[in-house]
Formats: sequence, structure tokens, C-alpha cells
Amino acid sequence: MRAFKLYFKVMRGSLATILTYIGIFVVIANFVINAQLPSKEADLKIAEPKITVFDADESPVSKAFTAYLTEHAEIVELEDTEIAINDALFDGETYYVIRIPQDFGKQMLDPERNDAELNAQGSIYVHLSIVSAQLVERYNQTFQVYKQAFGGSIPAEQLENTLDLIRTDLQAEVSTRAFLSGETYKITLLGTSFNNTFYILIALLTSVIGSTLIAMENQSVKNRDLVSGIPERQRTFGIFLATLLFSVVLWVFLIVFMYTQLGFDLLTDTRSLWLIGVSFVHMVAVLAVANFFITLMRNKGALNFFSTVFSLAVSFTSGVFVPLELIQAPVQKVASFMPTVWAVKANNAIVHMPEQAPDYSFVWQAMGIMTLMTVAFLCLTLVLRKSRQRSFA
Amino acid sequence: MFRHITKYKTLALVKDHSSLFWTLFFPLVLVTVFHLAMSGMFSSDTYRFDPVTVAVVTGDAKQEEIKAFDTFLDYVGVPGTPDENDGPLKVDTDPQNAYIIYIKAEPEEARVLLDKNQVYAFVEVGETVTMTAKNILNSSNSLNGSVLRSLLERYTQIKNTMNSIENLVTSGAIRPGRDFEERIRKAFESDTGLHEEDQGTKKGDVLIYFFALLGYLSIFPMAGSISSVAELEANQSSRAARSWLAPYPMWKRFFAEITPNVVLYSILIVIIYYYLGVLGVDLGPRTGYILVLLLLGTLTGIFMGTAVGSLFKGSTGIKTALGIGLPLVLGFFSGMMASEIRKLVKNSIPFLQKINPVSLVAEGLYSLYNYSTLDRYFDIVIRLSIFLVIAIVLTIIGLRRSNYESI
Repeated sequence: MRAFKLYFKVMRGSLATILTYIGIFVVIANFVINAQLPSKEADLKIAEPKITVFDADESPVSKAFTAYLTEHAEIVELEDTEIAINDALFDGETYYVIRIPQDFGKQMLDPERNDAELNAQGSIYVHLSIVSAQLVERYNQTFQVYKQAFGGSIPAEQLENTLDLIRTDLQAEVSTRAFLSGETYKITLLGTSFNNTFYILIALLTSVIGSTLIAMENQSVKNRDLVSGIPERQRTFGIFLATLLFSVVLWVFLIVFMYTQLGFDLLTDTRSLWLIGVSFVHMVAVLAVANFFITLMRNKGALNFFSTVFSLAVSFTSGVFVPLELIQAPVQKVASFMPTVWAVKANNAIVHMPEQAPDYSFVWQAMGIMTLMTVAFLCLTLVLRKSRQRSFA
Repeated sequence: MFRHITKYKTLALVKDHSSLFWTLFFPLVLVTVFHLAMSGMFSSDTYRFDPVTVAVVTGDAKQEEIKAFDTFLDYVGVPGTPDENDGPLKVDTDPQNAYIIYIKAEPEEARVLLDKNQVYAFVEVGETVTMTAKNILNSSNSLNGSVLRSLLERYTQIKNTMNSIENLVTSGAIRPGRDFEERIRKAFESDTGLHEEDQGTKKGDVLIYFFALLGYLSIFPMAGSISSVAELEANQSSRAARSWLAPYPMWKRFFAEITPNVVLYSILIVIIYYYLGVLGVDLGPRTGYILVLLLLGTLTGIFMGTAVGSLFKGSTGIKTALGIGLPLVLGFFSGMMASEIRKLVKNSIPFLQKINPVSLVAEGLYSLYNYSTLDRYFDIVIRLSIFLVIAIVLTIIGLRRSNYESI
């Protein structure tokens, strides 16, 4: 137990790093989770279009068109400058900017035409550009239908009534419902949060365990321990036990924090328990991987860089930050030599699991692969330590 | 003396092979990994539209409603079949311009398809149209919902318009001619005359990840300059204690210590910029302006580090953690890990967005990429310069008149 106790004494030097990382995680997780928490679980969440309209025509037709847009989308007022418009599109303050040119009303009423010139600029969200363009299309088509119904042109005395009729016709609504409302959204949010904890775990385990382990493996410290009569095997066991205990405590803290944000009632959902299981197996696997690389490296000066590169590289290529479907297949293949990508895939499978006939075989498979990785990296670490011990002797 | 310290600091930097390797290796590896991870972003379903998969339940609907809805489906979608491996609906024909891929199903079958995520939603047709979908937190889920709801609204609206026209005909306000039906049908299919412009904004929106990464890498020297301050404070390193014996002003020693860092990291950020170009990430033609912004960001990062190093007299552990953690947090808030976070921060804590140096560099690069004018760029350069001056002033405050009671 001497190595075990010594490990925690040495670890006190990394207390600042531990507290800094945990503090950052707590602040960020609190901010992100609360910003995404649903207000009412029963409602189906649908992205609403936000449109900016610049009306240079100001005719009765253009005004009626703008009024119609106001009823079907959130109208965002903007200054008519390149910077203001691009900023708003970039920041998602508006998704679609429509310019109604002069003569719009004239062109709409023209018996020879069945459309009117309009200019628009969409944002990166193609779906919302499609929805906004459909709003425009609908108005134009309905207007043209009435024009044709009147024989090709709407009589001036009928214009106001017709514009009212168009608006009334276009007021139709579709009822929307969330499927199996329960806690589906919260579970997906929980799955994402679990994925995010992977980064903190990798970063903290590599940097904190790394610096402690490197200090413990300092030759003079090691010699002191060995001459005091502690067998190498017992020392290694003590160190491994201490790293495991630290990792488990850290992991429990992260899990408890997440549930305080999302609600402990989620623990009653089977998927939530599966997420915890995957997270635990992943934590042990990451611990084994970190132990191996740190034993291999043994350079305290390079540890901070290694920890940052390793945690960010694994997280970016494994789908912790960016959805897995965006990551190219060859990158995913390389990443699959690390446990994180399997944990992320398993989490995604869990949160999208059908409620009626759930099939957890892939989750078992992912956990099995992570366990095999743990065993493999643990064996490699032990072999490495043994070979170093021999070369030193 | 200045040249002497600068020379030996440079030699110390260059001869510490391990640190030098990691200093150079870390940004290049990060950029490479980032590029590999993000290169699929341009074809992401957030930025590209794929037809929405839908199960249609006609149930107890009247025959005429079913017929009308079938006509509508032919107009907006193509039929699909369930995937044998429980994947999303497969298309029987090329979807081309279709908005939806649909399958007709019994109510229970539709629920199973939705439960297994083989369809995005199921739609019940009747007096009213009801759409049921899962509330899932992912990039395209709520966007698909928006498109589908809009399409279904169109179906309901066509019914309303037809009813209104029928009423007008009945009341005598409209007298239908011979080709009345044909003209109405053509009007329903008329184009809008809508011209959509795309001035490269959309690509710039995807590039924001790379802009944020460059912002992060320009602030990242913070960690290195924190340790440089430790080389100046006599109570933080033996080398500093020794150099204090020399009768040489603190501020001169400070600049002599920091100059090699400034040179090294400036060269590094220029290399990173050109390396991104080699990887195929085009950040726009305004190279000169971009490099000025990146160098300003690097200076800001270095002096943020010296400010933290000189103001916090605590253990090196806290300083190192701050040196690594702070740029990462600032990068996170500027959208480096998820662009949505940038928007969340802008909506919830706009002040943070305005003072976050990583965000400032990222927005500066974005403005150079997207805007024809340089107004926004210069605005950002001024803000970043103010930030730099504040960091220098804080460093001076932290370093001046230090007393060491016990070294």
C-alpha cells in the first residue's frame, strides 16, 4: 500500500490541473446543457424560419406579401448593409433575406406573367432556405391561381378582397406531435453530454496520471521504494490501483454532475443505465491507453503537449465534438484503434434504440472491443515496464 | 546585455529539442487532425438537403382525401421501401428533386418504422393532417421537421384555395371559361421568379471551424510565455534568482526573454497558415491582412501569458493548467469544437464574444473571407490591439517592483 499512498501524495502536485479542468468542464457543461434543455418535452421541436424582408416596392401586393411572411415566419429587422446581412446570416439571426424590387406588385398583376422578380440570399442551413423559398412559392402560386380564376388579371376593385382571401387560404396549419414524448430529447442530450465527458476524461487522465506516474517512475524515487523492500510487482499493483481509484472518483463526479443538470429521474430509463455502463468501460480503456503511452514516453516536459494533442486528436477523430457521420471513413478507421470511437458509436446506438424491440448487440460488441483494448494495452504496459526493469538491472 | 539574454534564450529554446519538437509538432498535428476530421463537413446533411423519409398513414381518410394526397405525394416525393438492415427507407427511383421519400403504411407499421428510425416521421391523413416525429437532438432533425411541415401545410392550403375558388364560382364572382381547370393547374405549378444569390457565405460558414482553430493556435503561445515569466521572477526559478544579481532593469530583461518567443511563434503561425493552404483549405486571397491578424493574435496570446504569469503568484501547476486550459476554453466558446456553441455564447453572453481573442481572430478571418470592405476587419484589429495593450499593461503591473522576502 506504500506505493498506493505515495501515488496520491505525488498527485497533490496536480491538484491545480485537476481543479482547473473540472472547473472548466462544470462551467461549460452547465452552460451547454441548460441552453439546450427542452422547455416542454411534449412539443415536437421544429426549426422555425427567420426571414428578413427589404421591400422597395411598397405596393399593396408587396405589403400583403410581407404581412403573409410575418404570419408564417419570424421577421427579423436588419440594417441594409453587406456586413449586417452577412453577420445575421452567419450568426443564425436570420436564415433568409428577401429583396422585393420596385414593380413587384406590377409584375405580379401583369396578365402576361405568372411570376415576379425577387432576390434572396440564404444561410448555410439549406433546409431553412428551402422552407423560406417554399413560403415565397406558395404565395406566388396562390396569387397566380386567383389571377387565372379571374381570367388572367385581378380586377382592381377585387384586389383587396383577393389579397385577404389569399392570406386566409394560406393560414392552414398542420398539427405536430412528438413520438413517445417521454424523455427522448433529454436522453439524446444525455448521450451528447456523455460523449463530451470523454474529452475531459482523456485530457485529465493523460495529464494528471501522466505527471504523477512520471514522477513515481523517477529512478531515484523508484530506487528508494525498491530498497525499502517493496517488490516491483507490489509497487506496480499499488500504482495501478491508485490510478484506477482516481479515475473512478473522477468519473463518478462527472456522471453525478451531469445527472444534477439533466435530472436524476433519467436513471429510471434503461438507456441511461446503458450509457453509464459504456462510459465506465470506456473510462477503464482510456486509463489503460493513457498508462501505456505515458510509460512509453516518460518525458515530463512533453507531457502537457502530448496530453493536449492526444485528447484533442482522439476527440476530433472519434466523434466527440463533431458528429461521426461528418468524419471521413479512413479517419474513422484509424480512430477505431482507440476506445473512444467505439464508445461514441455505442452511445449513438443507445440513444436511438427502438423502444419496442431494443437490440443491444452492437453495444455489447463495442464494450467487448473496449475491454479487449484495455487488456491489450495493460499487457503492453506491463511488458514495457518489465523490459525497462531488466534493462535497468 | 539585451542581446546576450536574447541570444541565450534563443539557444535555450532551440537546444531544448523535446520542447521545440512539441511546440512545432503540436500545432501541425492538430491542424492535420482537424482537417481530416472536418473535411467531411462540406457534404454534411446540415448543409445539404436529403429527402425526408416519411410513412404515410391514410387510415380512415375519405377516398377523395386519399386521392388528393396521392397526387400531392407524386408531386413532392418518390416512393421508398424499408431497408432490410433496419436502415432508413431506400428509394425505388432516383429522388432527383424530390423533397420526401415515402412509404404507405398501417398505423402500427408506421409507429414501428419511426421507432426504428427508418423514417423521420409518420403523417396521418384525414380532415386534418398530423405529423408525428421523434424529438432528437441532432443537427438535421428539427430542420427536416421544418421542411416536412412546410410541405404538408402546402397540401392543406391547396385544399383551402380550391374551396375558396369553388365558393367564388358558386357566388358568381368568377365565371369559369373553357380551359379554366387547365389554367388553374398551370398556375399551381408556376415558378416564383426567385433568384437566390450565394456569395461564398455558405463556405465561409463551414470554414469558421478553421478560423476558430487559427484563432486558438494564435493564442496558444500563452502556455510558453507563462513559463518565460517564471524565468524572470526570482522566487519562481533558480535561473531568475541568479539573473537578478546582475544590475539590469527588469523591463529590459522581460523583453529580452520574450523576444525569442515572439519570433518563434510568429514563424510558427505563418507556417501553419501556409500548411493549411497545402492541405487545401482556402482562406481567401487576402494573405497580407490574414497574416497581420494572425501575428497580432500571436502577440496577444504571448502577452496574455505574461499577464497571467506575472499576476498570479501561485504555483506553476495553476499557471500551466491556465496556460493550456484557457486557450482551449476560449477556442471552445468561439466555436472550434462546435459552431453552435459560438451562437449560444453570442445569444447568452454577448460580452464574452466581444472580448474573446480567439473569437476576434476567427471573426476577423471570416470578415476577410466574406466581405468586400475592410471596415469589420479594422474594427476587429482595433479591438484585438486594445486587448493586447491591456495584456501588456497587466504584465507591467504584475512585474514591477517585485519584492522577494525569501528566495
